[in-house]
Amino acid sequence: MHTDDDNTMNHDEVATATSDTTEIALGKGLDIGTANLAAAVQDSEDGITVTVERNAFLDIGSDVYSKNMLTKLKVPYVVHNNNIVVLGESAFELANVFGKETRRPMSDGMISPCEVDAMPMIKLIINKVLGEPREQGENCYFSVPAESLDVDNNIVYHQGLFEGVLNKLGYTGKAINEAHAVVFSELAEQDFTGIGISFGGGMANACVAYKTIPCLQFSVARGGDWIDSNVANVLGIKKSRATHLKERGVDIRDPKNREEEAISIYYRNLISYTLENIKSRFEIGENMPMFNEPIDIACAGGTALVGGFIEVFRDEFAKIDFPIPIGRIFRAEDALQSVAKGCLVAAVIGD
Amino acid sequence: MEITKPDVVNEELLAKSQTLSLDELRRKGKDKVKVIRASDVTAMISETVDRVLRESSALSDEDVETLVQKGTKEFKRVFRERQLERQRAAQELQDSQAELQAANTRIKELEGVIETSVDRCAPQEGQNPELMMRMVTEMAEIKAELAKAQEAAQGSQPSAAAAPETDGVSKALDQISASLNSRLEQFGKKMGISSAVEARDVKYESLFNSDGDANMESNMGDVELKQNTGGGIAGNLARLKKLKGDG
Repeated sequence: MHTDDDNTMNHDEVATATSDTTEIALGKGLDIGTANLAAAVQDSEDGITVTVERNAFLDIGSDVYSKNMLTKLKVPYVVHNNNIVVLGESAFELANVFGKETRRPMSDGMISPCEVDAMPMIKLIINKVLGEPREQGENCYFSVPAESLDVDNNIVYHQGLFEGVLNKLGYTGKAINEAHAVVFSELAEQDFTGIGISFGGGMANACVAYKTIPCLQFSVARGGDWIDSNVANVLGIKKSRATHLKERGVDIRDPKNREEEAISIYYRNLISYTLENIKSRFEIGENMPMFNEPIDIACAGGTALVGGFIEVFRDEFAKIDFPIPIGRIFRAEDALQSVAKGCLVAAVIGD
Repeated sequence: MEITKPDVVNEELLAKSQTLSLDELRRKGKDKVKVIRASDVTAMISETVDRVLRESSALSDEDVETLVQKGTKEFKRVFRERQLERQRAAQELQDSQAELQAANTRIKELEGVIETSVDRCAPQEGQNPELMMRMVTEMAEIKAELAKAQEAAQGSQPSAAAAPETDGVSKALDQISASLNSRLEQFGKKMGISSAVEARDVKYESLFNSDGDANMESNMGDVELKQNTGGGIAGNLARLKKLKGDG
């Protein structure tokens, strides 16, 4: 197994070699994650632009002073049911300052059935990150989770709902599994053959693909939120606080205090749980391809951003007897943007 | 006067002890262990208790006798309770084993039913999923080979005279490639592994007809979100096109 972490594709080289085929095509990619929403669009310089916003909101009492302050500070808000609702990253920051919990439109990778204001709020955030379609009916591939192994979830309703939102915004919404999007984004050099894993806020999704074709897709309902909930429970703190601790720059290989120790323990558990499930599905062996050469594993998603993630992943991988030969194990260069980028690739290439 | 009950102590010691094999000890990192006979432990306890009680000036012989009797009685009571617990646990284990056996028998019956059903539902052409997966794999490989051949054919046009012939080969390869694409997709769909996402019959757009968010007071239009730039997707697209046989 190679252990180098240098998965950077030489984009300049590729762009030169394919300059005659490079053009700005219509199509956008949208990663609808439990924790973050990310929209990707091809820009004019053979690069992409990704707009990310936290998938959260917070309502505060409505008064003229607060409204003026928020406007002055350029904090995005809407007035909904006589309340000021702060949206996105600002909601998360305010929640931390005031020791409150943010409200979340999604939980465990799916639209939250417990949040009555989920749809109007998430629609506003999607509209903001995605912008207007460049032409009516422009393709927008959006990420959806796969069926879970450990919880009963209704993907059909979730998928249909977001197709509806996107169509309402003037796009043609098309769903793609989020781990499949990681394959499109990160495994081009391997002819889109290998294992893509997206470690998101609500779920971890895995996709085993052979030359773009997904042979196996599944999810487990554990992700960054699962880590946050458990850390909050054991430390007796708010979940938003646990998220803040996790995101402020922890290295899970070398925890420095009790909080970081708790985060590290639950990270290891999440990684090990996901790997064991992939292994188990390979061993069941239904519809599994035979790979003659070692395949790569690409990890992406916001939860994979923590320091030491890929090293711990390799540690945990070494502990299990994986049934197929694996080549490189690497983290996407832009782990948070990887799913949106994969959705964009799918949108541009079309059906 | 019999002060302690070595046989009772001995039985309790045996009940509380555990048996470990040499391999298990070695796995726990124990190369050498100190051992002591249960009978020696019992004897030491008896001897010590006897000596302490008899040498104690605070207790008379009668008190010692009463204490010993009470102690022995209590010990026997606890011992009986433990025995009953063990009997109950053994019974529960036996019951669970019987339930497990019944469940296993039921699983085997159900497996038989599933096998019969699978046989009945086998594809008419006789392909099984593994066979179909092999076919998909082989077809995808042929497709990749074709793409290479196309590339070679396009890249090696020696002269103007040879051009029409090369075009003919290229067109033929295109046709084969398109046919393979179509068949690959058909096989993928049969196996439920198609790259395409099936269209939904249910439309949810009507859910958003009356949400009224357009009329919400908001400053969203004035707020700029942070944007990140990233590496382009030209390389990914080029490879995808090549795989699809378009490049």
